[in-house]
Amino acid sequence: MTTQFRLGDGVPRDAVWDVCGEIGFRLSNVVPRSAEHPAQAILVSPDRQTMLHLIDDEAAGRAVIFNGPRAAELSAAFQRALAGSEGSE
Amino acid sequence: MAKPSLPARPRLADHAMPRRHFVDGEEVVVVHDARTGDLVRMPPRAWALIEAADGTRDLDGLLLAASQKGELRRPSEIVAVLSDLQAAGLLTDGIDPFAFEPPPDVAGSAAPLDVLPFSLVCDGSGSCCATYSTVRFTRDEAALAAALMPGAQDGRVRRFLPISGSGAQPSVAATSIDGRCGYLAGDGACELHRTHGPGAKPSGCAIYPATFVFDGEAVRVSLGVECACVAKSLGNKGGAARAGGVPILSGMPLQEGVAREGGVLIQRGVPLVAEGLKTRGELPVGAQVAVLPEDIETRTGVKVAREVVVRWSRAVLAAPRPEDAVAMVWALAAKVAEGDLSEAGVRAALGSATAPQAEELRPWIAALCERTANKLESAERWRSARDRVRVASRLLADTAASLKDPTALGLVLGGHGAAREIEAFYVTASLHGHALIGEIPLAHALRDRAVRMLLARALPETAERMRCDDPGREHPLPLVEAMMRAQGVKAYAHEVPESAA
Repeated sequence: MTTQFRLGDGVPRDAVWDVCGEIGFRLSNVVPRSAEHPAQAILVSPDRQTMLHLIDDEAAGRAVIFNGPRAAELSAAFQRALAGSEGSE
Repeated sequence: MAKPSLPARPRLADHAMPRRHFVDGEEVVVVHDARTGDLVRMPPRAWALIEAADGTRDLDGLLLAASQKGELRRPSEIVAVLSDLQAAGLLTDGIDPFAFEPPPDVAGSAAPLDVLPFSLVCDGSGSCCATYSTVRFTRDEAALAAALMPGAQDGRVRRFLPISGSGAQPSVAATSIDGRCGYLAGDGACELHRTHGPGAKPSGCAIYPATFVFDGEAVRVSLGVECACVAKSLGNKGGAARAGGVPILSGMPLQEGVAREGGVLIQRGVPLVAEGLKTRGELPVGAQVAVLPEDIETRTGVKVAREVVVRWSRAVLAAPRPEDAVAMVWALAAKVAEGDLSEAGVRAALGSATAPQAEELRPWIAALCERTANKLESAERWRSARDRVRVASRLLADTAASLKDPTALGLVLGGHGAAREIEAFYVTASLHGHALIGEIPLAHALRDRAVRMLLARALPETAERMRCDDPGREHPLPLVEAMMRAQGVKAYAHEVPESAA
């Protein structure tokens, strides 16, 4: 299962990384930009079943993709936490 | 530089198991594919070129790492090695950031232990230490071993490779010499144990062959029936042993539990865990507790709650049994396949158990023949003629092939070659340790165990024909079991259609 959403321009990069850590994800790989795909950081959940791709594309902007059996649940948790962190700033 | 389609930051995938071997004196690194049983061999220099491929470096980083070690000649060499591994499906990208996280302790420290009553007498012959491609050391244990015995095997065993994949991880695998653990001396003694005491041995070896499984109610402590010593420990052999002990041959390393009786050294059995331990929290640090899933597949597509299977196993263990263990598990399989895991179902199955028909076994024997033949072909391709796994691969392949003969199959089905005591204990240990639950549905696993016992019954005759003096000749079931698990022969059962019953 896959869910994805765009990150607004105003979302600080540090806040995104803080939220990733908060919901338990850890960095697994960094893929540089190439002709085939945009630059992305790939994070993995503690059960290693769900991947989180932080996409940074020159044309399309920043986006988050969750891929795995708990994608919907973790995506919702991510967005809640991000909203909370934005509210607290 | 043209880059092939390789991962951005390659590392060996977790199903890749790199092992360092000396085969007839020549060093080789073999990367086993745990999923398929295939392997990729490479000379030590090729391994040195890609050793740094731990998921943190891109190709340029790997070139620099190889150059730093003085190994880099041409970048294309690294690309070629990685491309071979990629083609074999053995590479992945990036790191496992949770590699050093201990698995969640679902059992909890207060979970009670349910220990199979059994005492193991290790005869110190080291045959099990020559059967496994993996002898696991923690990083600390490996450092200790290398420091205590830097010159062991002329210094050839100081290097350890990752247990799985090539990323950072807490455990490593010892180097093997002609299939034997590098720390195993020529007389079968563990050199670490003999020279520096049991505390110098890896915790996994100290615990072997005990198994630990949490089933929601207790941690079942059982054992894998994979070592001839298990069979020897069941009773007195040759009239020389008394009170659960077997005599120690002169010069053998003395294990725990040694006593002197009437001028003869007798080794008493050692229980699976120290007496008096009551809870999971008291288990030794190296004890890895597996957890049964909450839903268990009994036949393809049908799952039942874990507690149903736990109750079922308890009912089987408590019930009076037929003499023939093959008939017993075959009959249980039929009931389980019907969806009946009740106590009454167990009693009915065991009360009317009969051995399977030869026709029912045909697909099992066919799959077993194919798997063991492949294993033999692989072993003969790269293992030394002195390697026990190569010898055992030949034994299993020839024995499986012999069962295609209806007369031979009829004989073992009729009980020829049956070692009743060890077969009964094998069933008990498998049930108590929940060893039938896992990779294949329960009903299929029961039938698989019946086939393994039939294979073991036929094995001594093959050994006789081959004039093979492997310890497996006297105690074939543990050898079959060791080869099934440690050498991947068990995968044959995946090839048998579940309707084959």
